[in-house]
Amino acid sequence: MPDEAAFMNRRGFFKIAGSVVAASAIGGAAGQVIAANYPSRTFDVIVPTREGGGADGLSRAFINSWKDKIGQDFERQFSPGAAGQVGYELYFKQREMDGSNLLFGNVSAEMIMYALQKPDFRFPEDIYYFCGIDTDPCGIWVSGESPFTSVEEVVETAMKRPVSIAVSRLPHPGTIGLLALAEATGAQFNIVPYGGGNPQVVAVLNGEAECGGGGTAGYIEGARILGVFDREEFVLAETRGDVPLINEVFGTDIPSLYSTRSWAVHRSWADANPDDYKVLQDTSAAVFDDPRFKEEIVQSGVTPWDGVRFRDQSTCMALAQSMVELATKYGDQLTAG
Amino acid sequence: MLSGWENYGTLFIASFTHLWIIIPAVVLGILVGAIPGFSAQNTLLILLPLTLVMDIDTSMAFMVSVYCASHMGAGIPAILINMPGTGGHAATCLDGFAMTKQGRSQEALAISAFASVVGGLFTTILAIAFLPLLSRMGLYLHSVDMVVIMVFGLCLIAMIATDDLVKGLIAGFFGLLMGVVGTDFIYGTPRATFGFIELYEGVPLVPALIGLLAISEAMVMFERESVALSSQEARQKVSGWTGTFEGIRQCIRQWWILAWTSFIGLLIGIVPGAGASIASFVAYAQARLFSSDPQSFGRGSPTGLIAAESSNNGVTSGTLVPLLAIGVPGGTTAAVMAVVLQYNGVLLGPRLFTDRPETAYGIFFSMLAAYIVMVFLVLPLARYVGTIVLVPTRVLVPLILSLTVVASLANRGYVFDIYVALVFGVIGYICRRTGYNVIAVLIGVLLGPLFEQYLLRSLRLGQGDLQILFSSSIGNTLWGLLALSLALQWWKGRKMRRALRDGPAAKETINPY
Repeated sequence: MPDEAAFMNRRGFFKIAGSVVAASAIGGAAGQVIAANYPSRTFDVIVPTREGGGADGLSRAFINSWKDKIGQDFERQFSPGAAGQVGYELYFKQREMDGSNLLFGNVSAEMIMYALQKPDFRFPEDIYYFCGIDTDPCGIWVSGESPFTSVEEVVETAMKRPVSIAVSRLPHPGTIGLLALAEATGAQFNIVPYGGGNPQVVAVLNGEAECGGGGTAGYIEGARILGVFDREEFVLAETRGDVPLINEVFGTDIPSLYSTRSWAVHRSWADANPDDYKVLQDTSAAVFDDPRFKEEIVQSGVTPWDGVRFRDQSTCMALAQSMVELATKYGDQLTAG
Repeated sequence: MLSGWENYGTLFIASFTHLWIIIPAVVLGILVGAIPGFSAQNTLLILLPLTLVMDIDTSMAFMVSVYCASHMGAGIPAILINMPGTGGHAATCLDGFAMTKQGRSQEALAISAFASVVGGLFTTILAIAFLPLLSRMGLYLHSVDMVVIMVFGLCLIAMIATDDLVKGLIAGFFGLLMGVVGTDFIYGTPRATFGFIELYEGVPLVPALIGLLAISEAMVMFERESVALSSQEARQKVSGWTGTFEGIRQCIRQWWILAWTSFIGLLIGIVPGAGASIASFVAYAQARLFSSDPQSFGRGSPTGLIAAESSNNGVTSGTLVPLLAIGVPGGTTAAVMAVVLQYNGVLLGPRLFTDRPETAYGIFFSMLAAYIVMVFLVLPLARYVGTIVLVPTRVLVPLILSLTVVASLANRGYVFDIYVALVFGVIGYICRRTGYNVIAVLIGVLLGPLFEQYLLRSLRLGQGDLQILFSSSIGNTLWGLLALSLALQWWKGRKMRRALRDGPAAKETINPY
């Protein structure tokens, strides 16, 4: 009996082992089929800002075209707070790295947050920004009733006394532009963060702050843009008119500063699944050729169409890297200590 | 711009062509408002795909109806089970639930409905008539002026803590301390979050309110058989229509308070970022200040309830003014409306009133129609909904506790918020049992972050110089009014204490909160 039992056990062992190998092979094949069928489920998107803002409108318009091209729908979760930190930390701590969890963020502002607050994820090790959508050039603007008519007047006044400038938040490329301009010209800017674009606009319109600093894409009736931080051109010239480049006015060499909303994904997933990642990249890039996307952007007015342009992974990642470096340089003035 | 009564009349009549969508929207709004933790904003976001495919006038009629009705609906759980679904309804609990405990739930619900509807109607008419002026008024108020308005609200801590000022102030400061949890407003650095990302935006308001008021109250209820102090008396009061008529009578009798406090709501609603939380407490403090019987506040005063509810609904008209006039949403629900308006190519700002006056004014006329519908839908409900007071606490308390879980979770979807509600429930219970003022804690939690935000912004503008707080003429006028209010409060208190000392019967002075 013991021998028979042992024999039976061996046979049993081989049977089981055979089954396991077969099952693994089938499973592996099935896995490849699943991989080939990527994406297999609805995308979950974390948007680290409040609903109702620019990211909401822009991502909605983009998704409306993208979902047909990629064959899956998108479900967005808005997780605002701490200049985007809440959304990013949720994304990296609580979302599976399976390619179906995406993030829709503002590369410039949120990389400044990353450099200043040092949250629990690593750039560039943990994230790929792979599809930048828009360009919101940073500059200085005033209300229609402001006594300032040019950026030279603003700086001239700021060399005699502090000029108050409302910004939506301190960790923003627009703030960095103002700090760089102040450093280059000796101007004194009293930069006041208002915790959002809406209160910032109100502060400039009601004269509480003398100027506004930051994005210039948002339409404000009667407001005048006095100058933009760009080395080459004002990309919104078609809709917002000609605006002087601050570098040309003052002979400075301030980097081009703009916000770009971009799609992002876990880097480890993208590196492990290059074919699937390519599906994400190719289908998202194709949205820019879809007339429906343009129609929706123009109709909703969420951002001027001349600012909408595709930025691939390398451009987005380079922008993110430059923002981290600039934020580190001006860190002392952007943080409490 | 619209000119001539004929045009106003045409738009008013046209708004009733949307009755087919306004009636279901009002029913939906009342339902989502009555479920604590849900809000018009959440509901409109869920229904956004639906509103985006409707034509613009229909979708706006739908959205403003849900918005107004949800504000009114949120008063129902605040009155019946002491559970405010939003920050704006915390003040409703003070006298609304006290009336329920006295078996006057039907009367309280009727007051809530009537004050909401009339307050909403009044401020909507004001908004239509003075829209250009009101939109400029929003721009006149600066951060320093808002600091004084916040101080008006915070002074309520001292007003309601008269029975034991030291304990009241300790409770108020504890609330203010809770209010500083989260990232700071200037640099965005997390403070006292202990690594919880759920606290980066501050202590979540709805779970904190639910804990402080509803959970702690449920714990106290365990010790009684019925919500009402006398169930027999309550049974008599909720049967028939007497309570409803008495509620309406109270509102008509105090029409001046109703008009004044709803106007406060309208003005505060116009300021982007302010909202119902501030408006209801400022209005409540004002009503108490000018009341001939301030001691009845918090003990089931119809005046206190009228002030809280009418100001809440005044805010609804106010938040739409900056949205339409300068393209800046006055609140989160207005931000959702902005999405729909922009999606339909409506250019917000002054040109809206010249290019598309029918859309701009049509929104307010739809609001007017929604309020008129509400009168007929809601008032008759008061009699039946008010009978909840007869449900024994052994049934009601588990129901309230399960609702608190839903309500805490519904707002942000974080399980963490359930624990926040429970922690604040225990804090509230300890306060109630040790004589510390729960409402003082609540005002601190609610207004503290807003006060800090405006104060820091003002100080930053003044580059640290405190004189900035006295640099605005509106602000200085408000400071003067504040000083007058406090002096009046002190004088009335002194007079009352003297009367009590000299009078034959002293009033009950047990802290009602």
